[in-house]
Amino acid sequence: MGSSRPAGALVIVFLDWARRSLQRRLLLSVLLSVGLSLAAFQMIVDRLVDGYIARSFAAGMDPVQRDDLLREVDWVLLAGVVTVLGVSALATVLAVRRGLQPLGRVASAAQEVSIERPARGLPLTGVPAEIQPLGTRFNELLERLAEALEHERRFAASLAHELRTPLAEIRALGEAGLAKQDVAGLHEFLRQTTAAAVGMQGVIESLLAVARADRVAVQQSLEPVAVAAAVHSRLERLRLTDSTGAPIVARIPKALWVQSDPRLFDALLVNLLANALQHGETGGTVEIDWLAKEGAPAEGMLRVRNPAPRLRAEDLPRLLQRFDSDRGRELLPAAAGAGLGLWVVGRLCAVLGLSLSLELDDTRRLSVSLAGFRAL
Amino acid sequence: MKLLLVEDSSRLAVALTSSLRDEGYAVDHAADGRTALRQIEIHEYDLMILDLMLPGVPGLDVLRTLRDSAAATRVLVLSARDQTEDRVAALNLGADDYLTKPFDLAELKARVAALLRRRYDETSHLLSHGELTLDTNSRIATVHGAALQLTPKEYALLETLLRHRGKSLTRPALFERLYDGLSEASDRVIEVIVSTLRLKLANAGINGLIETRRGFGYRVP
Repeated sequence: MGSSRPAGALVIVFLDWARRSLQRRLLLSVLLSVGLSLAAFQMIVDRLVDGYIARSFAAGMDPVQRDDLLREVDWVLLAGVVTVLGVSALATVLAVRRGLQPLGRVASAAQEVSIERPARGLPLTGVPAEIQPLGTRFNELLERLAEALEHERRFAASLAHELRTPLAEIRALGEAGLAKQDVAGLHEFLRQTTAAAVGMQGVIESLLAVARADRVAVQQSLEPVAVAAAVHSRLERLRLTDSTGAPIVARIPKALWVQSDPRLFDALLVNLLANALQHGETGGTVEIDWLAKEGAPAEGMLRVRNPAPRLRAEDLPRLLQRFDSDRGRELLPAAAGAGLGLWVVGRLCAVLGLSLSLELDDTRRLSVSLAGFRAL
Repeated sequence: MKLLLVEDSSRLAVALTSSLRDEGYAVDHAADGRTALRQIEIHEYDLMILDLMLPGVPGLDVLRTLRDSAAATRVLVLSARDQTEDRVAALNLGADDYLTKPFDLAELKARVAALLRRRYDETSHLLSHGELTLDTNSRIATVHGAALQLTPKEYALLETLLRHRGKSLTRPALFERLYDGLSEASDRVIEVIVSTLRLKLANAGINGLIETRRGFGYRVP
């Protein structure tokens, strides 16, 4: 009794070890089938030989009887071989089918994976070790696909939400403007409508820039960009629709060139400056500075500062998550000093290989700094 | 009728205040939640048009505070948030109506008028007194079916007096209801409006509708 327990445990451990690997499982199955077949064959041959010897030596056997006996032995041997082959084939088929059963379950589950339910992963319990990494990787990919689809869904919902306000502005200004009798009032409504439309265009163009930006392609197509000229050109265009009249001070060396993507750099400036102008308090100065790194003048940082008295330090981490989380979208209304612009800036910085940092100083001025530029 | 518009989009605020003032409503504007809370502490509004995503104090918190104060102010939520759960949350907190941006200005005005009727427990959009009828939807006053040419302020004053029929309303109280916080006029303007209104009513054959009670103000008996 005492020795049967360790032996039983050994058998269980062995079977478990064999079950975990498809190769081991199939090898064991084939070995078992061959063993069983050989054992059956051995039994048949033993019985035949025993009968032949018994009958040969029992009495004098005439040649006809001996030929009959030998023919009988031939037939039995043939039947034995056929039986052994049949048993062997059946055992192998059953063993292989049983061995591949987990893969069948995986295949069935894979058929149920759809674009509506990508998160439904494959069941990997009992799957052989050879298939396990493949299944795990596949499940990880499904998980990422589900996350990407969820992000897309949230992005689309946020985009629709982001466009609702400017659309409401345009519609309300248009309808209210139609009732205006005086030319000056009508002109003001048309100006406001145009500004709302430009704002809406900015939202759409920024989001398209983010959607199209590909980090690898961008890094391979960088070219020299004149920073001061780009900033002034963009400021002039923003001034056409800016109603805040906030003073702007730009301190950027005229001869400063950096390596960047001109299209994305402009999109970066549009959002950075529009955010500072629109969401900064009216009357507060917007400052744009180039800060060269100490000891490494070729490296520098572009910084935009604007007053943001309504912003709290605890809001800073959420400023860049406007579209990335429902919380960011809900808690940061358009006029809170943190519009869509900063989210776009964050995404473009990631594509351009720049690091973005936000800081709220004691005087309640928000600094948005973009580091990682290389001056030429 | 005194309205508070709580909206952080300055352009939308311009359009809405202009349009509602043209209708004769006195409209105050608050660009954030904190200002809105201050305004509802100081003034008694008939209706508040409330955006939900506001800087400072969120719109739902403004709504909660208003309802805790037991003010009879009607609340129309005007939001870009179009999910059912947003509507349910606002209505459960005591909002009377919910309109999603973008919206039709005519629909907004109709909803404002409907909420103001509910504010005064009226079942019809028509306010009548003898031969005089006020259509609170179209904001037109008629006598024997003929429209009176009233200015928005004259109409608003007549509507206010009819809604408080039998009660005397002082000059400052009427001024408070007819003019928003940005107005630079003094409450003496009410006397002028009452005077021109009486003249127009008299020309239409209605005399003595608006009584002056010295020390108490004006009333429609």
